[in-house]
Amino acid sequence: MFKLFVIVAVFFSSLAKAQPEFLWVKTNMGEMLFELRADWAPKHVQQIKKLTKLKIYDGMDFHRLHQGFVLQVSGADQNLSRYTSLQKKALKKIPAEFSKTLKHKRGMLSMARWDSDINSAESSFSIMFGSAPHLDSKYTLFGQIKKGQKTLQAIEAIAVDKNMRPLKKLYIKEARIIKDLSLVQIVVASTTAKQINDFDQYKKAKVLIDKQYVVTALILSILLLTLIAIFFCSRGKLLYARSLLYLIYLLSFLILYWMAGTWEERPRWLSTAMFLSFLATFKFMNFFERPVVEKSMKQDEI
Amino acid sequence: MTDLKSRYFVNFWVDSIFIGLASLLFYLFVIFYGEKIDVKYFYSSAVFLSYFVNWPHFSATSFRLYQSRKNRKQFPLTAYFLPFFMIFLVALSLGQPLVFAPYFIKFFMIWSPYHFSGQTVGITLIYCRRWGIFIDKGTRMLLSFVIYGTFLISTLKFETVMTSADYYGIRYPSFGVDPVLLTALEPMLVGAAVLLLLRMGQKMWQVKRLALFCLLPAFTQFVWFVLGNTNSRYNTFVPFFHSLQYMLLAWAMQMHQRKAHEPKVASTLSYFGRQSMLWYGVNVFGGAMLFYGLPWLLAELFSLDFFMTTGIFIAGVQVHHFFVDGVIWKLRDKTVTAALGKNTKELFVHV
Repeated sequence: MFKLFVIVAVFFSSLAKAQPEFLWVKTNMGEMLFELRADWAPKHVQQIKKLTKLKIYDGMDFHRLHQGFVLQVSGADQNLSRYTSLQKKALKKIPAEFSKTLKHKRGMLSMARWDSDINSAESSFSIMFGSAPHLDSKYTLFGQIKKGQKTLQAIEAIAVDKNMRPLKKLYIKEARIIKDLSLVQIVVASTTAKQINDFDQYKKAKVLIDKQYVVTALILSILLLTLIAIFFCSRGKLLYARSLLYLIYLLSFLILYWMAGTWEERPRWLSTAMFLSFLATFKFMNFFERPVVEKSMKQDEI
Repeated sequence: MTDLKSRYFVNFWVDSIFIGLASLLFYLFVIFYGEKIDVKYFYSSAVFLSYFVNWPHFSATSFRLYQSRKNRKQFPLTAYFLPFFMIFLVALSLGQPLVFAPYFIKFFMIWSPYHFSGQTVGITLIYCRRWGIFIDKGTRMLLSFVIYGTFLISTLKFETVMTSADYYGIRYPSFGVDPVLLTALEPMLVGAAVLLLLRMGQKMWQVKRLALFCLLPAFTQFVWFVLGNTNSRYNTFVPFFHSLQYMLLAWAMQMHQRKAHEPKVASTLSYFGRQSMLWYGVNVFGGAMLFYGLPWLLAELFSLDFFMTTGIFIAGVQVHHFFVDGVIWKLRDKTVTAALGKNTKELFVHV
C-alpha cells in the first residue's frame, strides 16, 4: 500500500512543472543571476545547490580570466583548510552529464573538471565569456545568465597577467539559491572598465596593502605594550598616566582598524583576529576603572 | 533561608514583565500576527517608545554616577576624563565622516549587543542570589558562555558575510570573519546550554526550590539574539526591552538608596511616588537632551548635517554609557549592594 502511494506521488510530482531556481552570485565587481537548469544536468544542479547552501562559494576567488573565453571559479579542493568537516563532506565528484545539443556560449555555466577524467567535476565552474565549440559535448552545461550582463562585461575588462590571473582581486562575496525572482535586485559594478584596467593604480594599491601589514604589526605591538602598561598602572594610583594610556590604547585600536582597511583588502585570518581583539577590548574595558576608596569608606565597609 | 518577598524587586508580575515576559509575549505576537502589520508601524512604535524608555535609560546611568560627589570621587577617570575623550572621538568622526566615523560606528555597533549580554549575566546573578542559588565559578563561566554565545551568533551572522550596513547615512563594513567561527560556535553553544540547564537543575534541587525565574533573563536573551534575530519587526524592539530591564533595576536602586541616605524621610507611597516621578522626569528630559537636543545644537552651531550628527553623537553617548555602566555597579557603597537584594515593600518600613 505504501509503495503504491509512493509511486503515485512520484508520478504526480513528475507531472508538475518544476519551479525554476536561480543562482545569485555577488562578486566584488557586482552581481549576476543565473538560471539553474536541472533539465540539462540534474546532478550538477543538485551539487551546485548543495555547495551554495553550505556557503562553499562565499569568499571564493576567480582564478582564471580568459577574455572572450571563460571566467573560472576556483575549486574548493584548492583551499580545503578553510572549510568545516560538513562542507568538506559535500565535496563529491559527480558524473558527467554532457549534452549533444547544447552549445557553450556567452553567459552559460559550465562545470570544470580534470582533463583526464570526465567524471571529476566537483565544485569549480566557469562562466562563459563567448562561444567555445571545442567544449561542446565535453563539459557539462548547467545554467545560463538571466541578469547581470553588465557585471560580466566589467569583469571581462579586468587586466590579467600572463597566466590569465586577474590583476585585481576578484572573488565571490556571496552566492545564494533563489526561487523568487522578485527578491533580487541586481547591482552592477560601479567601477568603470577604464579604472579597472589601470595597472598603475593596481600597483599603487598593492604597495599600500603591503605597507598596511607593517603598520598593522607596529600598532599591534603598541596595543600590546599599552595593555601591559595599563594592567600594571591599574594596580597603582597613577590616575593621569592611566588616562593617557587608555587614550593611546583606544586611539591606536581605532587606527589599527582603520589601517587594516575593509574586508576587500585583508585576508580572513586578519579579519577574524581583529574581531576577536574587539571582543577582548570590550572585556578589557570592564576593568576601565577601579573605585578610589578613601580610608573612611574602607572603615564603613568593615 | 531567603526571604520570599526579597526574591523580586517588586513582585512576580512586575519583575517578570520588565525582565523578560513582555519581550517573550511580544515575540509570540510578532510570530503569529507580525506579518499582517506593515513593518513601518513597528519601526515608528519603537521610535516612539524610545523617548520614554530607551533614552531615559541612558540618562539614568549617567544620573547614577553624577548625582553625588561621593560617586564621582570614586571614579574620577570615568566621571571627568571620559566625557572629554568621547567628545574628542565624536569630533574626529564628525570631521572625518568617511575616514574615521565608520570605524567608530563599528566599534559602537559591536559593543552594544555585548553590553546587553553583560546586563543579562548581571541580572541572572542578582536573581540567583535573591533565590538563594549559589553560583560557583564554573557555573558562572558556563552562564557567561551561553549568554555571550547568543550575542556572538547574531553578530557573526553579519560579520562572516562580506557586506556593509548603513547607520544614519554612514556605511560601515562587516569584518569578513572566517565562517568557521560561526560553524564551530553553534554546536558548542547548544552543548553549553544543555550543561547549564543540568547544572542549574542540580542547584535548584539542592535548595529544593524551582527557581525558574533565574533562567528568565538568559532565555529572554536567547529569544532576542537567536530566535528573533532575523525578524526585523522584532529585533527593532530589542533595545527597548533591554532598556526596560535596566529601568526597573535603576529605579529600585534609586529609591532604596534614597531611603538609605535619608532614613528620616516619610516612608509613604506618596513620597516614593513623587520621588519616582521626579527621577523618571529628570531622565526623560536628560534622554531627550542627549539624543535630540545636543545633536541639534551641535549641528546648528557648526553647520553640520543634522542626520549624520545625530548618528555620531548618539553613538558617542552610548559608548559613554557602556563605560559608565561598567563601573556604576562597582561603587563602594554598602547601600548599592544592599539595594540589589531588597524588595520595594521595604521602602515603606519605618526605621
